[in-house]
Amino acid sequence: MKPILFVFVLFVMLSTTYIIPTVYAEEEDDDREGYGEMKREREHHDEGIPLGTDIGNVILYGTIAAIGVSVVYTAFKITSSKRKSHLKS
Amino acid sequence: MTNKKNGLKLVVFLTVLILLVIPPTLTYAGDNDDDAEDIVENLGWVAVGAGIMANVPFIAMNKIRRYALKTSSSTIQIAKQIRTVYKPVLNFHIMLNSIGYFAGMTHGLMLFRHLDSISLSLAIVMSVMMVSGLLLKYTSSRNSKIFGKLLHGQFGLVILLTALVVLHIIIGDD
Repeated sequence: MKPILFVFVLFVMLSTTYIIPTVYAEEEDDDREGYGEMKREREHHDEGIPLGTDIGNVILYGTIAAIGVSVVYTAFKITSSKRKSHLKS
Repeated sequence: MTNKKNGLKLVVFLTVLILLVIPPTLTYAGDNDDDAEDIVENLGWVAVGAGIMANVPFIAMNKIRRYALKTSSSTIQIAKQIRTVYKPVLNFHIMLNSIGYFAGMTHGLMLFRHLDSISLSLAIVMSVMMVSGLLLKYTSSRNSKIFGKLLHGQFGLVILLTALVVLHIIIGDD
């Protein structure tokens, strides 16, 4: 189990180390060359359901809630089956 | 001892994979080039294709095996035959799903600036499925194995993943 834990920790650490600078790199800089053109292109592309909107939040929190419910349900199933086997013995 | 060696190999493999995949990904993420965008889009289709190829035969095989075991004694032969090919099919399922996961994540990182709620939800569900699969495959504790098995095979999560993939494709095409 230990090497697997190590893999997960390493994976999470590397992912966050790479992602956080990217997020900061995405910040707008008005002095950049061709800024207006890039912004127009980006506005043209961003036609999905952006983060922070009502529908977007419903989808995101709904997904997280569904995952949470699945995890709790799985844990409940395991504990209830263990309790049953304890009662039988 | 063998477990430790395998764990170390896995760590080295994943580290090299991450170091090889993420920096070029971020370089492409800064590009507005049409060719780069095509590559990124194709990567998404690779993930979808790998996911379909890895999961549809595997789920069908498991359903047929369970059905054959439940119905009557004459179909038990079919279940036994399926059991002989279970291991290779499982390996195929793991391999293609890993390819699909990394292709999907690379696609997501490359299009990081167009991140929307569906893509983020999809990434979260994919990661949960991947982690539960890894837990199921590599953990030795009985409880963790049962937990991984139940979580990995949740019908609700599979439906949620499929719905998010379909929504992602529809919105991405618009």
